[in-house]
Amino acid sequence: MNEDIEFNAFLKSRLEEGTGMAPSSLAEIERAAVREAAARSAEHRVRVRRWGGAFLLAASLAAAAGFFVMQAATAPTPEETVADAIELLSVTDETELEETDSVAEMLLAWQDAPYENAVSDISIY
Amino acid sequence: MAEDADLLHAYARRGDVRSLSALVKRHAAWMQALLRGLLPSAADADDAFQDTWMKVIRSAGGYRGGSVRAYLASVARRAAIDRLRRGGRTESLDVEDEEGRSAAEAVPDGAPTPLERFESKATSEDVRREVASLADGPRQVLLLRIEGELSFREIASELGVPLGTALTWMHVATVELKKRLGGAR
Repeated sequence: MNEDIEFNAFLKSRLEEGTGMAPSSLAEIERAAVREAAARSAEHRVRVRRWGGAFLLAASLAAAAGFFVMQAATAPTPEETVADAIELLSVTDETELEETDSVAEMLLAWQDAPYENAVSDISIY
Repeated sequence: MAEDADLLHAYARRGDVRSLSALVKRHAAWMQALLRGLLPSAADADDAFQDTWMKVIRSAGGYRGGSVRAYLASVARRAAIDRLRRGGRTESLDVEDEEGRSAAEAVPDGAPTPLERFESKATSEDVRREVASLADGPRQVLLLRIEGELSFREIASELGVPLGTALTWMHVATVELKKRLGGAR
């Protein structure tokens, strides 16, 4: 076994003797490597621009759609607006309690009324 | 010293030409020896050397780990096959006999080298000539083993032959070369 390993090492050393790379060969390989790297880099930039543009467009559309959906989902209903007003009134100063109670009663009556009617009634005050 | 794989990745990912140059210099000697063993002339080997690195440059991203030397040896062998085909030569490095019998039998008998012609007297030209005269299968296995440093399993896979065949061809090549070069060792 050792004999074979030694023999192979001997063959290897003889086969590699005098083998060398001409400087021109290396220079040519390097030039090709530079060309290929530049071509690959340009291709990468084009791909990034193409996919980046598509991504930005998709993101913008998604953001716009999200905004409208959120608006529709979170906009308060007329009933909720009136309920909020009642809650606000309930925490006002105690000296105005009677006055606020009457307003609150009125608002409670409006709570079930159509929103437009409630608004026109409020404008009377 | 940077690992071969790091150098190859540095070129594939960042286009770092200096890393590629370092890799070329590091692997030039054995690759030239491999190609000179596979091809009929030094000029062919020089051309195939260029072809090998062009292939590596174009497909550096295709390297999927493992021994870089084995990867390069595989690319070099394919470059040698392409060059033989382009040159319209009759020799072929495509191994067709999966049993290995014909290759073993095809090893020319040749006149036995005188015993006194010991290793110390066998020049590099003698070795190259005798290696070149081996049958395709044993010659490729020998070169891929000692220059490409491929495992026998990798060699069998590369040549598309069973593992046993690769081992047999290596044995045939070694015995034949020992005999022809003087059986010195």
